[in-house]
Amino acid sequence: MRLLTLLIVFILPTFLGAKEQLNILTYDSFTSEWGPGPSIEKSFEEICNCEINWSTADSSGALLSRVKLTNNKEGFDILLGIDDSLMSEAKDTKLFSNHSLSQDSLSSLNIDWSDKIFVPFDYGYFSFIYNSSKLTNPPKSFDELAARDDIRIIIMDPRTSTPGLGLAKWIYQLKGDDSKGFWISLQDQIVITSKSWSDGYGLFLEGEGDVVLSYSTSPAYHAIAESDENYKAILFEEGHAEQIEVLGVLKNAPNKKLAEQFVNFTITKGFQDHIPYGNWMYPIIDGVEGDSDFYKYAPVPNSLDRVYGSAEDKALWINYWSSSID
Amino acid sequence: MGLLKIKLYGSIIGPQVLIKTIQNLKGSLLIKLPFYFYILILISIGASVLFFFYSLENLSVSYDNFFQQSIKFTFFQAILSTSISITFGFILSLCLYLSNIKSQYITSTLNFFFIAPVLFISYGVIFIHGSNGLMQKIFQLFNLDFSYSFFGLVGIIYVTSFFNIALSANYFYRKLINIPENYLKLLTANKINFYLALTKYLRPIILNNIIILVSMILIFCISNFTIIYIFANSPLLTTIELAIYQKISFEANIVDAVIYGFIQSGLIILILIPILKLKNNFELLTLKQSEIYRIYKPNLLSTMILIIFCFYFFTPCLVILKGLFNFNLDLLFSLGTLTAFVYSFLIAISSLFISLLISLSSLFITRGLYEKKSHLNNYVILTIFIISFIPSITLSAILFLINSNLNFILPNFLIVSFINSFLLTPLIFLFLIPKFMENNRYERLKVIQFKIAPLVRLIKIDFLKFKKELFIICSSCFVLSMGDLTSITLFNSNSFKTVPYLISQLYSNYRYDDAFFLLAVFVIFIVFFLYSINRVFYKNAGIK
Repeated sequence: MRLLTLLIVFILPTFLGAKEQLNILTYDSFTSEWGPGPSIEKSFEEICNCEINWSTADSSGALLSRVKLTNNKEGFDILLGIDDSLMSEAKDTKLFSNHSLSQDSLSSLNIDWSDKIFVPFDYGYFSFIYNSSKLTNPPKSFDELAARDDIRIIIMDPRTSTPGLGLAKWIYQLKGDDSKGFWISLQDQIVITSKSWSDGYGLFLEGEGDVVLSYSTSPAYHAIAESDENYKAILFEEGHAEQIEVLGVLKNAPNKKLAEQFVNFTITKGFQDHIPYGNWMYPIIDGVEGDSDFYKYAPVPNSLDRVYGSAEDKALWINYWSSSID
Repeated sequence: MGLLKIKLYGSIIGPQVLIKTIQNLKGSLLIKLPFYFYILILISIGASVLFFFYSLENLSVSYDNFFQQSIKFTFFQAILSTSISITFGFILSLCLYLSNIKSQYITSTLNFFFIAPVLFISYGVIFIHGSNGLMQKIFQLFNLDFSYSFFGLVGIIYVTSFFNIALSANYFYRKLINIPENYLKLLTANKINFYLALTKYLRPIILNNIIILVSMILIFCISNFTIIYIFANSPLLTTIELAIYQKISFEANIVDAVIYGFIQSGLIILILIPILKLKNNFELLTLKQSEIYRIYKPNLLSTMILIIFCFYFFTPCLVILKGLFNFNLDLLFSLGTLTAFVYSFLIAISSLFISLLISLSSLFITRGLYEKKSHLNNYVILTIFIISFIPSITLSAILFLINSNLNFILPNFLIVSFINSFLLTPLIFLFLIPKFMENNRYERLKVIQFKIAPLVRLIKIDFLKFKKELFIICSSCFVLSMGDLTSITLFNSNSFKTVPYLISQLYSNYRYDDAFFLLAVFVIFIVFFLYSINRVFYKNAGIK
């Protein structure tokens, strides 16, 4: 009897007070203390009576790989952080379910979006970043960049990094079947092909290259967080390829209802307010906190048409790159 | 519960049987259990891999150009680095032998450089030789336009050789200081100078069993992961180990990863054949250390070379000073840092404990078979080394797959501990076997004569024999396990990180000051730990 009383007193409240758990798999920097994850977690937990459990992988490329390897036996509800170039491959896994956002909700975004499985949460444009105190006359076009032998370029491996794949897509969009030739002309200047964007950008900051493949939003980070306005994005006349980061609910998610609630939350100010100054990307809704400062340092460049590459397209883009270094 | 069972068992069957049961427990079965457990794990891993391949509908492996290139580069960098390490290690050992520095300081410093965390040396080298590094700042100060990049083959060879020069110099130095005093006196009596003595008379002694050293360094270089990950500046500079990591992490292609792993294992086995051929030669790595009989004096050339090597070895350590200047109390006592330290500590302890149990058990079995003149002892040695043939990334992938099929019943902490312990076991085994086999025939007679139980022999005789070696190898393995950054790259999560992983994360997020600070704290902790072990357990005997 005493035992039963003890059980009631100590264990029952634990069950009664237990909050629902939302398991999100994302890339490392998103949940770091300097990333947007902690603030988003706080905002969402205020409205959901739940707890977010973040799990991380090294990079966005590794996220999809992880759920594919295990068929999501690890029990994630949401995969957050793959980009539009991986969407087709992700859909092929048949691990994701349709989201419940209405077309009206999607039409309120500042980008065109109609996908039924994945929901965007931020976007950006690939760009080359340089330090204006060191490089005084940056190139104005891709062709000029390829012709400038005095410029050391840092890029990322398209097989392991989404910006790397983005560059391969960007070059293909501009050069088409001449991509191989263009890659060959660029190879002499490429001093580092890093595994991930963060490695490559770190090496650029360490002075190992004059320009680095990154996003047009990167200068905003240096200007706002570090008060250093020397870092600038090279804006090419011919336009820039776009990257949209998305999230999706997994079919075998243990807590689908909560996952859907989170997906709805991503297109609200509660989530989007933390994107410009946390993930240093463009928010997908207008009027977020402090966006005027952000856009001042990260003006939106000329955009190329959006391309949703299939697995075959991805293989083709990578092939043009790899055949240039054989 | 066990005691209760024994009590019940005793009350039913009688005290005689109970005593016999306890005696059996003190017997060889108890000691052999960890090895049997290890064999069971090996069989389970092997069976899982076979089942995995059997269940595949179609097996296709991509041997693309990048993979072919990775095989070529793996061997190119391994052979180049091994040649450099052996040559410079030999030169360094000669200079150290001629110097007046105490042998205790020399061996402990070389030991430290060999087991130092890869991240520490890699970031240290970048801090010194990077484009924004200390050397470039000094050049700028004197208006010297001498820019160079350490990323690429140069950086890979420079850092890989760092550890292996320390290892080979230690090996040759031990050989040199163990040359019998009478032999040296005889040489001086015949007015044979050092150079002549070295080329004509000492060479066979120094180069004896060098194939083992060459094989070990080659294997270390082939299994190179972290250094390649940090310093490779092109997709053409990829080792098989890194190709496996890419296949798992970015392509979710476990089939290719496992097959690549088997290819690498096969190549390592080919290299290890010379070691396996040296049957029952247990005097492989440790040497008795005597007081040096100094007859040869240092000269200008040896002193100059020593200064260059001091620059090579000690300049990367300046990153510690840089780290300490960025003292950050909030970071040190943040939840993330404390958790990382706790996990690193727990992984190091648990992997050391597991590997110690397995290696002692296998040593016991090896000795038993050797005493019975059975050739099976070679197979025991082979089973201990077989797991180290498999790249740790492949092993991680296989265990990840097994755990996935078990619905992730095993915590990542346990898997990382097991992977580390499997890689530490051969090291402990190799280091302890000379002492373990010492006087075994005489001991065996006494054991039979006085009916000494195996467990008693292990604790009261063997332990006393290899106590000092045990503490040294345990402390080294503890440090190696703490500084490892291989399996944790696959098994980390938001709540499960080790210190090296946290440092690499901070570094990747351009928090260089914080990364260097934490690195400094980590290295100081390691140095303090090794020093304490040295003081406590090895005070009066010099360092081996």
